[in-house]
Amino acid sequence: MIEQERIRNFSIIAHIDHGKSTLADRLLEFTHAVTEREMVEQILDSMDLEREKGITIKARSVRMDYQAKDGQTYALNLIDTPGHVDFSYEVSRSLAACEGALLVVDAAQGIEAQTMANVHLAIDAGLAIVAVVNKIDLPNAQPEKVAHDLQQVIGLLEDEIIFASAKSGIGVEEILEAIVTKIPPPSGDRSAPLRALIFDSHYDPYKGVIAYVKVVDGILREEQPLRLMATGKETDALEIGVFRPTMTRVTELGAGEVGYIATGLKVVTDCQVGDTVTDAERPAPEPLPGYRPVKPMVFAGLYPVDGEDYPALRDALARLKLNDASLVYEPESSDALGFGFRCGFLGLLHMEIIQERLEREYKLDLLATAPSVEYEVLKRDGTVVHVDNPSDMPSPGEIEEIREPWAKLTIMSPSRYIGAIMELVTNRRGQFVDMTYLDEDRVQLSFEMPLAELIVDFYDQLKSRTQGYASLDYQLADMRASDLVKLDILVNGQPVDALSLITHRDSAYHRGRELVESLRKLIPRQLFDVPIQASIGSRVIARETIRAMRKNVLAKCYGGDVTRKRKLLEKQKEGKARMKMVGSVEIPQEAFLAVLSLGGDANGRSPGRE
Amino acid sequence: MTAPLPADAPLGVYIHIPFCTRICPYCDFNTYARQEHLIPEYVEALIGEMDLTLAAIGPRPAQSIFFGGGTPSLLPPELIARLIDAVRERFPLPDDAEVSLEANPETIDAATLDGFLQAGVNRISLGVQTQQARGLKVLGRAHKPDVPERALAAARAAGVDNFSVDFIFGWPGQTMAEWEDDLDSILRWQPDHLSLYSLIIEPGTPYERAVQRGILTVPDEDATADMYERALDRLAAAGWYHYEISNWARTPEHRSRHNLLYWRNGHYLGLGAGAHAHLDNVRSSNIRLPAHYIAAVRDGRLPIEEREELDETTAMAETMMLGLRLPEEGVSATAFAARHGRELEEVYGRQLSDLAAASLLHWDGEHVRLTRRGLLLANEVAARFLPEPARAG
Repeated sequence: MIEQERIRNFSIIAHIDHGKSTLADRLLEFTHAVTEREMVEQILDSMDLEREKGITIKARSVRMDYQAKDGQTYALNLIDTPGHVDFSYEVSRSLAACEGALLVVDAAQGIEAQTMANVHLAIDAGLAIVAVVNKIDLPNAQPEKVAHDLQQVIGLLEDEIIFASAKSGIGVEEILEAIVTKIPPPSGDRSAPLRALIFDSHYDPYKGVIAYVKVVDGILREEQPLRLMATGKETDALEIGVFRPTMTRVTELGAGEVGYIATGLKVVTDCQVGDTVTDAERPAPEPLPGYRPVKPMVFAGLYPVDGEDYPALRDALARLKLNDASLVYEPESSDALGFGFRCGFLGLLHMEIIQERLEREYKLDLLATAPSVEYEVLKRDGTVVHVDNPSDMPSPGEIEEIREPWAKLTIMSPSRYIGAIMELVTNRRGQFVDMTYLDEDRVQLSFEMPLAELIVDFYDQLKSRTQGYASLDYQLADMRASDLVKLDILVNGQPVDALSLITHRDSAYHRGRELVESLRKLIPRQLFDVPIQASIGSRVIARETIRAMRKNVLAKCYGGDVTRKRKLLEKQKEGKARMKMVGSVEIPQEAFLAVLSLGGDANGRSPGRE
Repeated sequence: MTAPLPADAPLGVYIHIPFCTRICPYCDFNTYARQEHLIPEYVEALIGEMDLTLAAIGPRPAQSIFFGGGTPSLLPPELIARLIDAVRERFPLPDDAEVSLEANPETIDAATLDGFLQAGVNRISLGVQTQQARGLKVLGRAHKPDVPERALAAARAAGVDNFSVDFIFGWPGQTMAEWEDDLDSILRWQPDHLSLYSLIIEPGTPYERAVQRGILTVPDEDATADMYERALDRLAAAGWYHYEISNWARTPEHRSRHNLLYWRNGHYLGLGAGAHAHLDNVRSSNIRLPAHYIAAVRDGRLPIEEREELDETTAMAETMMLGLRLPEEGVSATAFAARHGRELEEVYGRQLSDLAAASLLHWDGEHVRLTRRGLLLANEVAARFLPEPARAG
C-alpha cells in the first residue's frame, strides 16, 4: 500500500486525433512503465477497431512510478476514458475515479465540443485540470490562440497551460510535474468500511470478470468477501492487483489506489460500471453516488444475411456481451428477414462498432434495420407502453399520445457554418437554444432536438456540411409528445415488417414516397403486377406499381449448346431461391440492404424540399 | 412428329466452322479471325473426327447436316462438298435430307452459291441482322444494307429454294420505327424461313463491357417485348407459320428440320472445334481452339473437352425446356412417355397446373403449349421444370 499523499489519479481528456494515445505512450516511456521493447505503439488502444477509428472504446488503466523533482516517488494512475459521445456515462465514472484530468487540445484544431463536454464533466466532478496544448510543432499550429480560447472558455490562467508535442517528446516532464503538483492526492478514509468504484471491467476466460476499481474508502484485500451494492451480487476477491500495464498481483489496495479485482463472476452484467464494491461482512452504509443502470438509447434489428448464420450470430453476440455490459439484445423474428436479434445500443457509434465487430471478428454478413429510439406510448386506456420496434406500435386507434426522447445538443464550429448547421438542425425538427462566440470565428451552438432525428446520419451530415470542422456532443433531455406516426410499407398488399418505421407526420409523406420509389426500382418484376404502398394505418400515402414481367426468353439455341441454356436457367432459378418471400413476391436481399441503408440520406433533407 | 423424339430417331449432324473475317462485338460463339490458313487441315480434322465418332458409336442413320459458325461460307464449295460426301459415306442420309449452310451476305455471289448447291447444300441461312445502316454499324457487321437483297436475288437465280434470313432486334439505340422497317424488308423479300433473335448481351463480349460502362444502351425489356409482339402480329397477318419462339417458316415444310431436332430433344453429332453433341443421354462439347482440336484428332483422340451424362430428371427437364419452345407442337404426353418411360402428368402435374393457372401455358392432357404470354416468358416457364434448389430462410 502506498500512502495517499503519493498517489495521483488522472485521466486524459482529448478529442479524437488530438494526441491522447501518443501522450499516454510518452508518459509510460518516461516513467519506464514499459520498456521500449515492450512498447507497442499506442498501448492504450488495444482493439483493432479502436485504432482504426482513432478512438478509445473501452477504458484502460495503467500505473506508473514517477520520481518527481521533489525527490519523492509517486504512483500515477492514468485512467483512460472513452472518447465518444455514446459513452458519456462511462466517461463520467472514469472521471469519478480521478482527482484530476489532463486536458489535451490540438494546437491546430482547437477546442472541440466533445472535449468541452468532458471538461465540464470533469470540472463538475471537482477535478483539477492540467491543460496541454499539443502538437505545437505542426506547421499550422496556433498554440497561443488555442491557449487564449482555453482561458476564455474554461477560465484557466495562462501559466497553467503547458505547450507540448507528445510526438517529439516536448513538455512531457513538465506535464508529469504538473500532475504531481497541481492534482491533489485522493482523500478517503482507510479505516472506513470498504467502498471501491467500478469504472470498467473485462471478461477473462480463466479469472472471470475482472473489475477495474478505484478504492475510495477502506482497504481491499485478497480473498475478502465482497458485495456489489447495486446488483447485490456477492463474491470473493479471488485476486487483486494493479496494472503495470499488465495485471500485477498485490495483496492489498488502500483508499486512493487504482487496480483490479478478479471477481470470478461469469458475466460483466453482474459487474456494472458505476457500482460500488463493499465488504460483504462489514458493508458500507451508503454506496458511492452516481450509479446508473445501463440504458440503451438506440435500437435496431440485426439479421444474418444467410439464415443459416443465426446460431453463429447468437454465439457472437453472447461473446461480445461478455465484455460489454451496455449491449442488450433479445431474439426477434421478421417475416421478411427471418430470425435475428433486437439489439439496444448506447448510441449510433456503439451500434456501428458492434456491427463491425460481428462482421469482422465473427465473419458474419449482417443486415441491420433502421435504427430506432424508445418511444413512450400513452394508450387511450390510460396505460403506457414502451416501444423500440415499430412493429410493436399499437394501432392508431388505441393511441392517445406518443412521446419521444429529446436530446440537448452542443455543436462547436467555425462561425461561417452557422447557417448550414441551423438549416440541418431545423430540418430535423431541432430548436435553437443559444449561441456563444468562443472567439471571433468560433461559436458554440446549443439546440434541442428529437433523439430519433439525431441517430440517423446526423453526425455525418454535420461533418459534411462543415467540411469536418464542427464537433458535436449531446445528452438526453426529456420525453416530449410529438405528432408521430407509424409508416408501413406494403408489398402486394402485405406489410413488410422490417421496413416499418416511426416518423414525424410531416416527413411521413416524403419518407413513404422515397421508400416506395426505391423499392419499385429494387424489386425485380414478377409474373404479376406488384403494388408497393406506403401507409399510415389504413391510409395509403404513396403508391407505385411494379409492372408484371414481360419478357424473359433466350433467343437462340447456341449451336445446340443445350447445357449452357439449362445452366443459365438453373442460375436464374438459384438466384430466385436466395430471395426472401413476402407473400408471393420474391425480393432480393440487396433490395432490403439498399432500402435499409437509405434511411440516412432520406433524413438529411427536409420534407418537401426535393 | 412431335416433341420429344424417340431415342432412336436419326441423328442431326452439326459441323462447326470457327472462322470469321472479323468478330462481331456482341458475338460469343467459338469463332476466330485471321485463322483462315487453318481451313484445309481443319477440314481434314473434321473428316478425322467423323471416323473417330463412327468407330465409337457405329453407323447410325442421319437426317440433316448444318454448317454453322463462325462463317461457313468462308469455305470454298469444294471443301463443303468433301464434308457433305464424307458425312454421307459414314452416316446414311436420305437424298432429300436438309443440308443447311450459314452465310454472311458479303461472302456469297452467284458463283459460290452455285458451287454450294452443287456440293449438296439445299438450304442457305443468311445473316442479315438488320437493314438499318446505323444498326449494321453498331452490330459491327461487314456489309452494307444493299448487299443482302443482291445476295437474295443471286440465291434465287442460282435456284436456292429454301432460303432463310436472320435478323436481330433490340440492338443499341434501335427504335420501333427501325424495327418496322426491317419487318417491311422481310415481308417484301419473302424468304422461305426467318429467324428473329432478340439481342442478348453475353458475358465476356465487348458489348457487355460497353453496356456496363454506359457506352451502349440497349432497348429495355418492355421495348424488346413490344418489338417481338409486333413481329408476332405482322408475321401472323402475312400468313407466316410460327413454329419456334424465334423461328418462322413460309409453310410447315420450310421449317428447319435440323433445328427442330434440337427442340425435340433429339440426338446429334457436333463436329468441329467447340461443337456440341447430344448422343444417348450424354451432352458433350469439343476442344475450343481450332489448333488444339486439329492436334487431338491427328493424335487419334476424340476431341471432347467436356462431357455431361444426363440423369433422367435432367433429361425430362430438357425435354420440357426445349419442346415448349415450339408453340404449335409443344410437348406431347404420349411422346414424353415413350421417350422417358414416365407419364408427363405424374412427373410435372403440379408445374403444369400452376403454369396453366398463371396463363403461361395450355395443358389439355395430351399437349403442353405456351400461351402468347408464355412465349415471352419461356425462361420462367422452363425454370419451373428444373429441379428445385434449396431455398434460403
